[in-house]
Amino acid sequence: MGKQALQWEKCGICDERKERGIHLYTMYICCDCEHQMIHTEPSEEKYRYYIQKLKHMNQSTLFS
Amino acid sequence: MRRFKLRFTLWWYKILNKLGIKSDEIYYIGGKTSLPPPLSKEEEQELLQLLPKGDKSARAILIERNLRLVVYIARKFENTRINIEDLISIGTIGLIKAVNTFNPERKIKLATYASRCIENEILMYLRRNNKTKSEISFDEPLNIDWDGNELLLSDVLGTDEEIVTKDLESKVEKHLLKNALTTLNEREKKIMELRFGLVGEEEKTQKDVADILGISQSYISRLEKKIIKRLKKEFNKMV
Repeated sequence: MGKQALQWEKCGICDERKERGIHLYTMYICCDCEHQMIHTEPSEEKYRYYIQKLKHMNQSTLFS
Repeated sequence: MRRFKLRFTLWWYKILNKLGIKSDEIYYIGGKTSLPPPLSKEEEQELLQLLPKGDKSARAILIERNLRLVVYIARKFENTRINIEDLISIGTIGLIKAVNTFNPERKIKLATYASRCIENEILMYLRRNNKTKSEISFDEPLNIDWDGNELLLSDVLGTDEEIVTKDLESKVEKHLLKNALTTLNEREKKIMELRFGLVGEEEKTQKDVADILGISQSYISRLEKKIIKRLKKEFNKMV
């Protein structure tokens, strides 16, 4: 991972550091995950996974 | 003043991008402890003008500042037994879709359009959820033992043994009875057939049988007891 990649934020869904993304409240979502998420039907198993992940959006980051 | 604040936020993002602190594709939404306030009409108008140009900052702010709408709509569905956090997550997906697909040229307010998209997203999920609730897989694990073996629904489901053997036993018994009846004389055979409906007729009372055969009911009763005793003996011999 390059030096610049380390500056990128970690996506709250795929846990990878990605350059492109948006912040939903306290959660960062990369463009790839956002794209996949909005193109997932509620009937798909993956939809449940995204719902669970999005629950973290109102949780503050705790540093210990 | 609010307009100035909004412009300042947009500039701030752009300055951060130029300094390389944030890449030009990363935009902050929220990050505060309470949900951000909704946009004023002027602020929204300004951001909506930037939306068709592909301005990602504007898109991010529009999503952020409409999160209250998601919470408001999600609360309307609280009586559906779906967790409010789940409803907010689903509604947020609806909001992102709304902002991504919103066409400012249409004479409709973003809040109206977004509300429909959020509601639609929740309703789609509820429909799907209700459908799957009534369905259950045969491979549904009911329990797992200490060795990790799953007890599946298909393991506890099965055809009642009686259902399989009932007809079979009934056939065998009928066959045995037919054989046993051959040991009786004609009158005894007739009494049994009439009393127990053996030839597809209704079971008749001792009085009816007595009238048909022209003998007394008490005599029928005595004969019946005698015949059954003999048939039992024959049965025991056959089995």
